Amino acid sequence: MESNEEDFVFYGTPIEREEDTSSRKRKVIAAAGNLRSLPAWKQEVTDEEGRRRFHGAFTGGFSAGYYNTAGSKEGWRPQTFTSSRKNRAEVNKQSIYNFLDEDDIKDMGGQPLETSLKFDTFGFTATEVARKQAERELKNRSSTIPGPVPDELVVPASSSIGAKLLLKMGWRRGHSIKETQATSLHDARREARKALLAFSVNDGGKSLSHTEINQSDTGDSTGKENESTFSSQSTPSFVLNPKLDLYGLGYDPFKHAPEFQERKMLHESRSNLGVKRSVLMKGGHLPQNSGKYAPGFGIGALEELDVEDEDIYTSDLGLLGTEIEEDEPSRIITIDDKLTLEGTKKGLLGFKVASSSDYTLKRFQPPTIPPDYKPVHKFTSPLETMETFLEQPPPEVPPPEDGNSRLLIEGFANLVARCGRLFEDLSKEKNKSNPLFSFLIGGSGHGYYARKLWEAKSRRSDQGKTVSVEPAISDQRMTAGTRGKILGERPLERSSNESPKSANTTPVVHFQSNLSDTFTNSAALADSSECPKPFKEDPPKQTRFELFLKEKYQGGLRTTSYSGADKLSEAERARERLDFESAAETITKEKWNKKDGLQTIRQNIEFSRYGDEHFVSGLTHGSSQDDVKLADKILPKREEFQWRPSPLLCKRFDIVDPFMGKPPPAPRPRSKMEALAFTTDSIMDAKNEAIITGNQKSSSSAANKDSSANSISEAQGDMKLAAEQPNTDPSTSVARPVDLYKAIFSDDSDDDGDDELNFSSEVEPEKASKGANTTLNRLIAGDFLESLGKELGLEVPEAPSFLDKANSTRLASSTHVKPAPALETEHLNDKEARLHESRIPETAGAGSPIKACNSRARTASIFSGDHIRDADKKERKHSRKHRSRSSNRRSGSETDSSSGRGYHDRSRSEKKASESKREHKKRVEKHEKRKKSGSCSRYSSYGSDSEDDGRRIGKSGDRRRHSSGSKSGGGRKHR
Amino acid sequence: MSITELDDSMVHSMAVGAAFTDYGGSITSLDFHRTEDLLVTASEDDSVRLYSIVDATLLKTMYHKKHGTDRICFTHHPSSIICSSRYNLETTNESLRYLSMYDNRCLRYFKGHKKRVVSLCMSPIDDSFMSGSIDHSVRIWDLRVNACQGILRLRGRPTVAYDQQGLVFAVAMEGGAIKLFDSRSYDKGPFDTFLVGGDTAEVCDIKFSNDGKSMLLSTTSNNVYILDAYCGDKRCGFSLEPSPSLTTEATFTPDGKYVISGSGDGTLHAWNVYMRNEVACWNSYIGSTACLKWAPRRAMFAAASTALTFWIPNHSKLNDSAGAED
Repeated sequence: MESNEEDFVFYGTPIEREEDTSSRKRKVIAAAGNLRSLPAWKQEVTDEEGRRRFHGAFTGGFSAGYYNTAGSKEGWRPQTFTSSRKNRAEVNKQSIYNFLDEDDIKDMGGQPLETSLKFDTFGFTATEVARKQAERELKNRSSTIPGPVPDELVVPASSSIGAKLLLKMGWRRGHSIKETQATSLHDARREARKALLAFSVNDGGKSLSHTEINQSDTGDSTGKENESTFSSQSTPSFVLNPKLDLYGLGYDPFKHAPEFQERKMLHESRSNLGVKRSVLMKGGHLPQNSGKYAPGFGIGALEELDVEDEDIYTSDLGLLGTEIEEDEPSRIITIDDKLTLEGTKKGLLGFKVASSSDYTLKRFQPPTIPPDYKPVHKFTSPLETMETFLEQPPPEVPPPEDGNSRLLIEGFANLVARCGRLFEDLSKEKNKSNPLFSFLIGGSGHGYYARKLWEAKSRRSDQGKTVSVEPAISDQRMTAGTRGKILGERPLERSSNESPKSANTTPVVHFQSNLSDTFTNSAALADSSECPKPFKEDPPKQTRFELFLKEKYQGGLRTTSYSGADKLSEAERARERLDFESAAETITKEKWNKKDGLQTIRQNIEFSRYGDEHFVSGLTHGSSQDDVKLADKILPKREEFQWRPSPLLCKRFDIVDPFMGKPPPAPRPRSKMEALAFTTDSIMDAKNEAIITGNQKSSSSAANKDSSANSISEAQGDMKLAAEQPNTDPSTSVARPVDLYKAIFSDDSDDDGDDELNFSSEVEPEKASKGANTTLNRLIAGDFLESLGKELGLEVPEAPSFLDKANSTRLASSTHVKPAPALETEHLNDKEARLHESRIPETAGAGSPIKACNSRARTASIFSGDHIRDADKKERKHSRKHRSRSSNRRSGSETDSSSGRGYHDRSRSEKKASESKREHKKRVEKHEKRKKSGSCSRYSSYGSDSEDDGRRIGKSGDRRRHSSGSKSGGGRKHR
Repeated sequence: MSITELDDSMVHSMAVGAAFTDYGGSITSLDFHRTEDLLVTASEDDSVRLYSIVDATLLKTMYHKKHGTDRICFTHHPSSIICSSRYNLETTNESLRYLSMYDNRCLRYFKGHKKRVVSLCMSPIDDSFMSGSIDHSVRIWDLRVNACQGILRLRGRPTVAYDQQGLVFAVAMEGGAIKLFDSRSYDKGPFDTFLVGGDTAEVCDIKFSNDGKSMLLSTTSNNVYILDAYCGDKRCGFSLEPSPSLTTEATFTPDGKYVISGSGDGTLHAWNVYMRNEVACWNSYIGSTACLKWAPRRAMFAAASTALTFWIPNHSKLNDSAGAED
């Protein structure tokens, strides 16, 4: 048989047996290990039986169900009917698992599906669960720390930042964010309602039903009223305004003609309920939406054909005395409507019924427009509320004893004031028999009513005026200007070409009595036209000066851009400010002294230019009273500037910094002056001097660019100004570090060493690049001076307490930087020189151990550095003086001879001093060169920066223990 | 009675609740677990000790004689820590180790730093951590990877700190410059730089307050500064007695209201940050403290020099003072 079998020919594919499938399955499982290594296109997707899930398009594509059929192994069979008569109670409840297949359930990983209370965007539930767990653990844990310890000192945030912000702003949960409008309108309404209630209490159920009706069908207005009353609630209590009309949802036929709304409602309610009078009354007491809308009456374009409309026109409208003239287009439509509707009468509003079935269109001539037609509404009688009140106020009458009637009278008066005399007439007619309303006819309480009515009317007419202004403002977005207007600030005037001064202005010193005064009033100097013009030669400068005066003595809104001075450099601007400052001060003083100030102002400016004189020396020195007055003159100001979020804030909120990569804002020019303004006079002067010297250097060197020393000093001046600004861009300061040791003691730039940190990077670009590597080798020259002062036993200005604000400390330390006025420095110089002389031999001949030598050498070097600085300063001053004198000559004004003499004397002595110091310096340099290798590294560790004003805190803090610390020697010199 | 809030009187009443004096050398660093009530200390006697701060018990002591222990830091797991080495740095470069305290095993070495690590901190949100070393580099690591994820080379002694959100980290470097980096894109460079002028000493410790608004800097000259974390303005500064040989540490309370710092003269000081007044001054009893940290979830702090002390509010004293006030 076996041989026979070979003779068989097989057609088709053999039917696979069950065993074969299982073997295939096994194979597939075995292959699964290898499968992973196969490329994607060779891999095969199988179900758990090992059958292929996806087939080629010709072999069935995706296989699903039972061999791609809806049937089963037994074939397809419809569900058999089973009677539910017996197993009735069996309700098969659907669960979520009915809708999940095996894969889904597997994906859930055994976790049951649950609903959560919160929408868990930011891990609310996670934190909640964590907290609960912590609480549970807490119970189990035994704690030996006495008392239950606060397990949750840090409570995880449970609300979003937005909610937190809102809460901080006063919002409460469950409330809407809309603000409540507590207006007079609202008050009047409330009063009216009160009156009505009182009325209804007395009048029994009938009028109660009136009010109820009123409230139920007041439509939009009531809705609005309620809205404003309950606007603080975000959840509406119930819908007060059922939709009664047949318009589409949200369609408001009166959208653009709100004045007709009331009319419509009136008509509607009457036709629906037949309550004529109450509606009228309601129409009367209904508040207007705003002052703009007069309590007008009208109907919509589509209403005209209603039968009752005729009624209204004849009775009510006539009664109200208004007349309505329709716009032309609407008339056309209505006539058209009329024609089509006349036959059928039952057609839907707005729909035409075809008149004939054969669709022959009938054309009609357009209606002829009456010749006297005017396409505007005209109200024959002006509204009473808008009338001006010319009546004499009725006499004051004591209110009636009866509280109810008093309330009624007051409320009624309010109503009448709002709705017009018509209302009064109406109610008079209606309540003829009602004893409560006897006051209308002239019974008891009529006098009181008249008075109240007058009061309400006058109040209303006042309101009408304001109301007419307000919407215009609120329509547009509030700008700074309008806000300022509301606040009563006077906007900055750009053009200042006012009429020249009026000489006989009495000098009035304004002391601020109230805030609005501070914003609007200007002090004695405010009017720039009144002040003398110290900068007549330079008109733009004069305008800037006037602007400056305004800024100084006049509150108000201003932008930070220092207008007009944009093209000036920072240094020039600062110098100009100081000029202005001194000029302004002189002017004020002059005014107080009732003198013509122009000459002295000039002098003063010259003085301030020299910078080594106290700039008010030519005048009666400001007494303490003056200071007080000056201090009083500081007015509150508001200014606009660009706010930029700090980078960290952006990171925290995970937003891109909108200002990333953009240059930092220009330092606000006012900041310095503010700082100055708050200092006492002496400090201010000292600082002024300091800045002026810096400025003068720069300006003078701008004139003579040839001298290298000047260019350096210019850079210093600039840098110093930059250093004065708090929080200048820190990156620049990082990028421009300096080897201070070199900066001070190297030969090529021996001119360095101003009071502040010396950035010579601008002068020496190659150094700047070097400096980038030797990062942050910074040094406070102020520290040097300070330690010097300590060692000399000189008086160092007392620093404020350590915890003081940075501001004050900065000021204090700035005085410290320039502690002594010019005359004193001379003494100091001599003293220093002597001390120095005595010290140097010691140092030079140091045979002591290196450490001691080092320390002493350092002191010496500090000394010498200081001397050099002093000497250089003198030199600079010298050259500057020359230059400024020459410039003075150029400008044509004469130099103050006395100061010139003084200068000569001094310069001689200075020269001597500086020469001796220069010798000194050379010696020290030699010494330093020897030491350089040893001490260089140490200097590098004394990095500091001069820019951050906050630094002074640290310094002043150190100062406390400095007395002990500085004596402790080389180990820690500055700290 | 449960403590809802730290106030002046409570801080004032803090006293030593437990002391551990069995250390063979001074304690170099300590760290609290962020969520568990655990404290781990590293000491110069090469021991790593684990404490439960709830009942003030020593749970475990481990010795790391080969590498030594210096800076220590918890990871998110309560039994695994990161520890920096003191010995064999040049030869092995194994400056950081990821240790499992459960089985006293080293899980991973992080090679890179050539010199001692002086600052170590773990990100509060993910597996990354940072170390600053006196080889002038800051390295960013991931617990799961041996290799260093990022290097920042700078001058001087670096100090690093993550803020509480883990979004930002701060690096302090020579001259009082604080640079803020985005921890997700630190390769883009610092997004903000503050200069803490006036103090030329090196910053030896930075901490962010829990609310993220303030930064606490302590310098080697024992000055403590509180900076506005947003703009870098100095909000206040506190000056303490210098301790020449060791660096002290300052810490915020979890509510950010108080700052506590050790001083060179062996005292501890507490200040109210908002009122800027000194709330308390205690004798530390253990000399000048090198390590000081407030427990993240407890009204207690740990101070350590050669001994470890746990400070807790003294309730009897507190009640007395409250009674006196009444």
